Order: sequence, then structure tokens, then C-alpha cells
Amino acid sequence: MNMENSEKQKFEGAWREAFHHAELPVADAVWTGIESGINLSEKVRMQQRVVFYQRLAAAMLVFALVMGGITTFFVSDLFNQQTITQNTVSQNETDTKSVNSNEGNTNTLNAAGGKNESTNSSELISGIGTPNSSKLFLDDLDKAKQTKGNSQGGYTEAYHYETKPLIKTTHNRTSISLISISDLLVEPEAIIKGEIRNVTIVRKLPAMPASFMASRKRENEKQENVWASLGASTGNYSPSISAGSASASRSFNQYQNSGTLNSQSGSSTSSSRGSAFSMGVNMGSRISNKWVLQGGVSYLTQSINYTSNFAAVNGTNQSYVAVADFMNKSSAVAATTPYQINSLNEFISIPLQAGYLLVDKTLGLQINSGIATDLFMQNTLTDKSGQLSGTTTGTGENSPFRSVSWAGLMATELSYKIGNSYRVSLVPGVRYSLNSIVKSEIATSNPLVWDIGFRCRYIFK
Amino acid sequence: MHSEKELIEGCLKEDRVLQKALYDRYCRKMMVVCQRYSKSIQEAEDTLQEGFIKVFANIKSFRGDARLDTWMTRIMINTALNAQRQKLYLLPMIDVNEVDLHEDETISLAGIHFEELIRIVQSLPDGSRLVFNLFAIEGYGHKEIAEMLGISEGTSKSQYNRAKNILKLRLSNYKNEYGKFGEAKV
Repeated sequence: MNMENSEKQKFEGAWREAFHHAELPVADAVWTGIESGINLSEKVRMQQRVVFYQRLAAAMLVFALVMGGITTFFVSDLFNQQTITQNTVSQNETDTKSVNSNEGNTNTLNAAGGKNESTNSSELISGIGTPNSSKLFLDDLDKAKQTKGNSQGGYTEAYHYETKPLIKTTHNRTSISLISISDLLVEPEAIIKGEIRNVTIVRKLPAMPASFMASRKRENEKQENVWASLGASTGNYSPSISAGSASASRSFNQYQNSGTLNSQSGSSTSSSRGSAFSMGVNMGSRISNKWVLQGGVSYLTQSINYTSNFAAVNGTNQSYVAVADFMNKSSAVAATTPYQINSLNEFISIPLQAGYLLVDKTLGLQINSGIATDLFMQNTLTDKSGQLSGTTTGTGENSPFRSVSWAGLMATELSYKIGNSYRVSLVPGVRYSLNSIVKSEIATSNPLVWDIGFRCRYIFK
Repeated sequence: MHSEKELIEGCLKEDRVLQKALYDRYCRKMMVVCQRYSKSIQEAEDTLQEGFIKVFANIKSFRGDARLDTWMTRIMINTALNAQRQKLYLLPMIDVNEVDLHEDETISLAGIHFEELIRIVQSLPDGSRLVFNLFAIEGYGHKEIAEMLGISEGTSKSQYNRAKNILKLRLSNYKNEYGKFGEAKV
């Protein structure tokens, strides 16, 4: 150990001292390679993020479908149970299915015991609004009955009949009852004995009881069928430039070959994230109990920073900002020190979305998915330091931007109803361009926006 | 001129201008480190490029316990070692008892430009160069070097001894050629 320490004090000390403040020049190409590497790693990260969002969207969709299915199943099941519960009076009365006789006497069939019991008319089933006058629903019976022969006083007919809701008046209460005539025939003893004579059809019960119809009517009155909404959203924006890492070297070669940049390494690289903002109006309509359709128009901006080490030069030798990905090949360029550029894309977007209502109460939850047609307005490049002139690029044949592009939309809308006519909602969502917003021979850019919006909805009566 | 804190914060925000400023400040110093561990300038540039990409990707893990250039140097060394790791399998494995460490004769480095010293270091065989850099310049012990490179302690010592002998020879040749050696002992 002593020998080792001794060595370090002499030999190593001299070498360490020789390299202590040493510096060596580095070729410019190293930084270009580093930039390319950073862009590549950002691109990989972005791709991973896109895959993550795609999986998240798929998981949300599956979750929405599962929740929708479960909700539908339980709501319909609950509705059936409520109907049956309402139809069932008390335990003593539950098993009793009564039929009003023509004379006001009743043959009550006890399904549990299969015994006939006579009760007074207050416990009889009667037609709506015509107590004591309603008998069996003979028109239905006529349709359903099948003669199987006579027995016991000449009345032996078997009835095969579907379940029909009836109104049962019990102790001055009206409740819904389900009677299946076939149930009456379960027990031979349950068959009503004796002839039915002078039966008059008072009224056929509607398929849906009046009380239930009334509640449905009230629900229909509450239902939001058509609405208009005003909203705004903001969030992260990533340009997802596929040729991002290659853009630096490509622009270098491109300008070197054209002779305008000579041996300078002209490159421009974008930040990994920018910001997006949109505001617009929407119209919505319910197309079924659970599905809605929404569409509208909105103004959309996407802003991101670039770092560039060259500027474009026009005919009057005026320098203005330039980004390699989006500039014309014929433009003359000049090398500069690295400077920051803000790029602002403006669109008019026409979204069309279908929504599924997971919860449709005062507090609402729906999943929206759809497509938006984005009409490119203009791109504005601004030097953040203010030294170089800005530039604006619109649409057209010479523009590097496509006039029209399409974006896929996916969002969750959490809403709260205020009064009878308004509903406010928070809308976190994702927007991904399905095709590049720039022309393919220059670069491809499929912007990904992850935003959260606020909407105020007016419900039309 | 940005402060070190501003540079770190800028790199955390992936601000390309500040990333470039950080690179500009430290690239020349890191180039010396990379050249010491490499066989050629091209190899050193590759290491430097890969090292800086790692620096920017992992800047969030820099806690400020050490100086930034120390942390970056460590990354450059690890990058260089990873690039050279496959060559380490070719190192002869020598038992520690066979290694003879002895005091060297007096040789001076005074008057030799460090670029010439780097060229002499680069001329060392791969294994010897790594061990020499880690032991003599970075200050690691043979046990630590053995763990870092996955070799035995004896191999580390023997490689170091070999490096010293080669360096002594090269420096003697240089002295004979240019006559610039004198006082200091090596």
C-alpha cells in the first residue's frame, strides 16, 4: 500500500498536473451529432408517448364500453326489479293474483297455494278507471285461449298468454301487476270454474301503465336533445416531426449542394413540447338514449420554439427567421449564432364527434371520439430576441403546409347541469393529426395535442 | 455568460440554446478526457458526442453533490469504458504475486506539451491505457479498477506496470530526440 501511495505521489502527480487545465479544440460536427442524438432520443420518447396515449385511449374506450355495458345491464335489471317490486304488494298479497268476476265477486287465485279464495271487490283487479266493471281481459283471452275440452261445469279452457301488466286495486292503492294467464293454469285448481257470461270488454290496458308513462313523459321533458356550446381548451403540443433528427443534416446537405450555405452547418431544431390553444362553438344532438353527435367550428393555434443557426436572406439583403423543416429550397441563407424562433400555426378546425353517455344525470360523464378537419390558415415565425424580421406563410402551391389535414379526437367530458338550460363541463382530451400538416417532400409532422377544455352548454327546449 | 445553475436549469427544460452553452463551456475539457481514453481523435469525438447526449438525457439525476464538470467527467469515463469494454477480455490475466512494482528512475514531464503527452498515452495498448488513466490520473485504486473493469486486481497492477514501462520508453525516446527532459522524477 505504501508503495502504491508512493507511486501516486510521484508518477501520477506529474501526469495529473500535466492534464489539470488542459483543453483541446472540438470539431463543429460533434455538436451537430449531439443535436441529432438529442432529437433522436426525443423522437423515440415521443413515439413511446404516442404509443402510451394510444394504449390509454384504447383502455379508455374499453373501459367506457365495459362501463356502458354494465350500466345498461344494471339499469335495465334495476328497472325490471322495480317494476316487479311495484307489482308485488306485500308478502301476503304478493302471491295473490286476482281476477274480478262479473258479479263483483272474485275468484282469487293463490299461486303459492294454488287455492281459490274469495275476496271482496276492493281487492279485485279492475280496469283503469272502471273499478268493479273490469273483468278478465277477454279480448286478450280470446286471442290466446285454446280450447282443450270441457270439464267441471263446462268451463275448461286452457289459456296460453303472454304476461300483461294490469292494475290491481288493493286497499285503496293502485299498483302495477303482472298477470300471465298461463300462470293461472299452472294448477288445475286455479282454473276459474263456472261460465263467464255477459262479459264486456271495458278497456284494454295499454302496454305501458299510465303512471309509468307519466314518469317517462317527465323524463322526456328533462332530456337534453339539442344544445349549443361555447368552449376553449389549452394544453401541450408536440409537432412530432418524423424527420426531426435528419432535418439538421438534410438541410446541411441541401444547402451545401445548392451552394447557398457552402460549408456552414445550417440546422434548426424544435423543442420537444409547445403549447396549443383552441376556442370555438359546437352544436350537439342526442341521436339515441345513450349516444350523442356533436360538431362545430373552432379556431386552433399550435405554438412551439425552434433553435436555428441560420437565417433566410431576401433580395434586399434583409435577414429574416428561417426553420429548415419548413422553408423553400431556393431561399438564400446566412449562418448566424443560434437563436430562438417561435413558430405559431393557426387553423380553423371543424370537429365531428360521437359521444357515449356513461352517466346522464345532473352530473354527467361521456366519452367523445371523432375526427376534425383542420383548415390551415398561416404559420408565423418570430425571432424571440427581436433581432431578425419575422415571416408569415399562408397556404398555396408554394407553401410547405397542407391546406387541409385531418386529426383524430378522443376526449372525456365531465359535466354538471346548472338549472334546466345550462351544463358546464371539463373536457380532457387528445388530438392527433392523422396526416402530416406539411407536404411530405419537406418533412412530416403529425402534431399531438393533449389538452383540457372548458365548455358551457345551452340546452334548447 | 450563464451561471452553472442557469445552464443546468436550461438543460432540464431542454432549452437548446442553454444546452449548446453548456456544451461550449465544457466540451474542450471533456475532449481531453475522451482523448486520453481513446486510440484516436475520431474515437474520442464519438465518445464525447455519446457522453454529452447522456449528460443532457440524465441532467435531472445531477444532484449538485459534486461539481458539474466532475460529474460530466465521470460520464465521459464511463462512456469510454463501455466503448472499450469488449477489448478488456483480451487482457492477459496475471496473478497479483507475479507483479513487480518498483520505483522508477527519474524522468521529467516538464517542457512537454500536454498534446504530446496525450499522443503518448494514446499509443498505449487498450487495457494498459485504461488502467493507467484510471490509476494515475483519476486516482482510483487497483481494487476499484478491478471492480470497474471486471478484471482481477493483479491484472490491473500488471497492466499499469506495463503502461509505465511503455511510457518510460516513449518518454526516453522523446528525450533523446528533442532533449527536453530534466529534473522531475517519474
